[in-house]
Amino acid sequence: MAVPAHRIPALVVALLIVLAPWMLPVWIVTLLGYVGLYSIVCLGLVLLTGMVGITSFGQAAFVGLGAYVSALSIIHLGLSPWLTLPLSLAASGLAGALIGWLTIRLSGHYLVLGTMAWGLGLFYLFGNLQGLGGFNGLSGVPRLEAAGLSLVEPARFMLLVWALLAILLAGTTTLIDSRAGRAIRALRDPVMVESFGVQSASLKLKVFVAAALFAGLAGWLHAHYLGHVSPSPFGINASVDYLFMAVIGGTGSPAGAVLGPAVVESLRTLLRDAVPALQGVGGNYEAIVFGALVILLLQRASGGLAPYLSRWLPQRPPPRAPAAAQPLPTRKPPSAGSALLEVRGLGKRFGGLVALQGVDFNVPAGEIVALIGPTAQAKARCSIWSLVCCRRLRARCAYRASELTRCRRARSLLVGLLEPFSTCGCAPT
Amino acid sequence: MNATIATLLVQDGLTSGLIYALLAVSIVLVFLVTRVLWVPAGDMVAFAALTMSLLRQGIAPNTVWLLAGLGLLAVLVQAWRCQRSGEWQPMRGVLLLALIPPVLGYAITRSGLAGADAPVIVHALITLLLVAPLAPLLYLTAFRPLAEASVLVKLIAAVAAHYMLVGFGLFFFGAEGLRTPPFISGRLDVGITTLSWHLLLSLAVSIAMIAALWVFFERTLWGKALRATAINRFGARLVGIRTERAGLLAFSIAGLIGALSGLMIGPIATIYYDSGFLIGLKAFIGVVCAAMASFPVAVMGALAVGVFEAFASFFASALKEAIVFVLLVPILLWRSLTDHSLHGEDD
Repeated sequence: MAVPAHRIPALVVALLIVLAPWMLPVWIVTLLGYVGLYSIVCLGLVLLTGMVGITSFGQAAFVGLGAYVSALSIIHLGLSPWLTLPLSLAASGLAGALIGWLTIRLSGHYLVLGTMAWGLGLFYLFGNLQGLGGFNGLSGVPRLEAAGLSLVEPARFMLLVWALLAILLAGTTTLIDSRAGRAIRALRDPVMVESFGVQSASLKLKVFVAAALFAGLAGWLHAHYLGHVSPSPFGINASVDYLFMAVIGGTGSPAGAVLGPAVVESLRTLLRDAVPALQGVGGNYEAIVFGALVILLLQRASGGLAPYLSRWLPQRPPPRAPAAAQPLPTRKPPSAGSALLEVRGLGKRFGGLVALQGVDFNVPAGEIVALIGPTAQAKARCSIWSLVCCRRLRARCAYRASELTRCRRARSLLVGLLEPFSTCGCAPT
Repeated sequence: MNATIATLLVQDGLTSGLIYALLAVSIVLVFLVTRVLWVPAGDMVAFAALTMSLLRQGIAPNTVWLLAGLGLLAVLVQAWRCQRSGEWQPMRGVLLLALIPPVLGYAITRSGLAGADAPVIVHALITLLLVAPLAPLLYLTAFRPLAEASVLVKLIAAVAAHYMLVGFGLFFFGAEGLRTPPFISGRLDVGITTLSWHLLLSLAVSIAMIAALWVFFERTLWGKALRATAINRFGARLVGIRTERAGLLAFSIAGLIGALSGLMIGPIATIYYDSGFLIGLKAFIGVVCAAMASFPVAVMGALAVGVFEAFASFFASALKEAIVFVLLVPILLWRSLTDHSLHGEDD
């Protein structure tokens, strides 16, 4: 069986990882384990930041949630570490769903501030809540074992982490190429995707939960590898670290999620070991170097390092559209003359300017209805207002005799209404 | 809890709230003009407080080297831009900004003119000279090349800049917290309660600063240009405003406000090299109240955060920070529910 050329780099990396415990010293193998662990979190960030265009400064809090839930349920309920994995995932997933539901509707920077607030709030809760061991944390979390073998031995742990990472990478790549993945990648422009019938808010929430689940998995691994849980690795600095890793690697592809942690961790080790002369001075060089690197990358190459690497690797063939597609089901057209759209009491003000007031109109099936009036904007927008935000404007709109109550672009498209667009703008200089 | 404690808590809250309010103003200003979320606002505060504290102890602060290094970088970046555009006229301003503060700061701090026994005002002015120019220099090196990038990219850059500043902070000031001796100690008896002189001084400085900003925005051409840029960047360019210069001006004002706030916070709290982030984030709560747009609402919001924090630390001091940040979430929700323009459904 011939292996497609674009798969070879991934297979070579996988082979090197599997051979690493026999070829490399233990400290590099341990480092690889951590790189894998961070990559799992970064993969969630690639989905969030690179695909959806929203970002989270609270990802480490989800990692912490996974770790704490597992540690607590073992200490108090005496479960085996493997049984707590579903609990960890459920906790981080539920927290992701709740936090996401509360914050996802915020736009760009509000959302980021919101995730930051959640991250900080959870961090202080970990440190201050009764029974969580305060800032010293919980010790004595049992290590992972399988078939009598301890999995915290660095080589085995590394292989376990990378095996999980490989599954997640394969899943994410498949997802990105799927129909849902295309919708996810288009979410940056909510008006556009909603006009294509995608429920943008719920899709965003799903991606947010997926990222939280990845983080929860990493937290579970973290707790059972170290055997100790404390708040400090789950604070805001850790969240920023994860985001920087993702940005440095490149948020445009799953490969960036692995490349970023690899580059950052190697640089960190180099800085710690190769600059011993600076150690005595007591500065935080990592922060300075990574901060500068991130700013430089954002200025010069906002796609991160992954595109530079992939330029030298065999390209994957462009996806080919199927020769023939299933025809879409056709709707039954309404009988001519029956009421299609009825609008009552549509009004819109911009501050003191009344654009529309008390507009009533009917559109019967099979007829063309023209709207005549003095202001261009109000006429062009009239249909949008009646279709998309009639409830907020306290107008009553009915389509084929059923009231439009949940006025969302995606929904109106699903019942057969298409929103008109008229946009004009100057090309930026 | 009785009335006496409550008035004291309100006073404490207002004293820190005033600092958050000034920072909130600088954050809103920078955001409106450049769309950068000014995360390092808090670091300006920490740097100023720590620099002032060192100066009061008669130690020459090393912040001057950061200023010199950043200035050099700004000159290099500007030279590269000038080389590409072939127009060397903007170079002069950048050279002045990059060279004068570090040279002057170095000369004064190392010559012994500003020893531990120099008057407070001299130390305060040197602190302003050493810290305030960091913000415009950061703009020239980090943010101006990103002028066309998305808000999210600028935000990540701002967090990266904050990270770098914290790294430098540890390098220059060490991990120990420092506190400045009060400028004027004691309290003023006004009958029902006693007011600390520091609160009155902070109030006077804040009001003077806000009044100066008001005059600047209402009465001067540059202020109006800044407002125009804030309202519509593209439109401002059409009428001949150099939006990049407006950005530089906004950052300069933000640096000045940050350094002033740092002078004010030094005597009321022990400041560590990384204290800036939390201070800045509390100012952000005020900013979010104002939907990133309104100065008066931002000030009120930040004052409320200060008072809220004072009471929270009285009732549940361990959970103080958690309470303050979880406060942000309902405010964000309220904003997202009331402000429809945020999620693009309406015009």
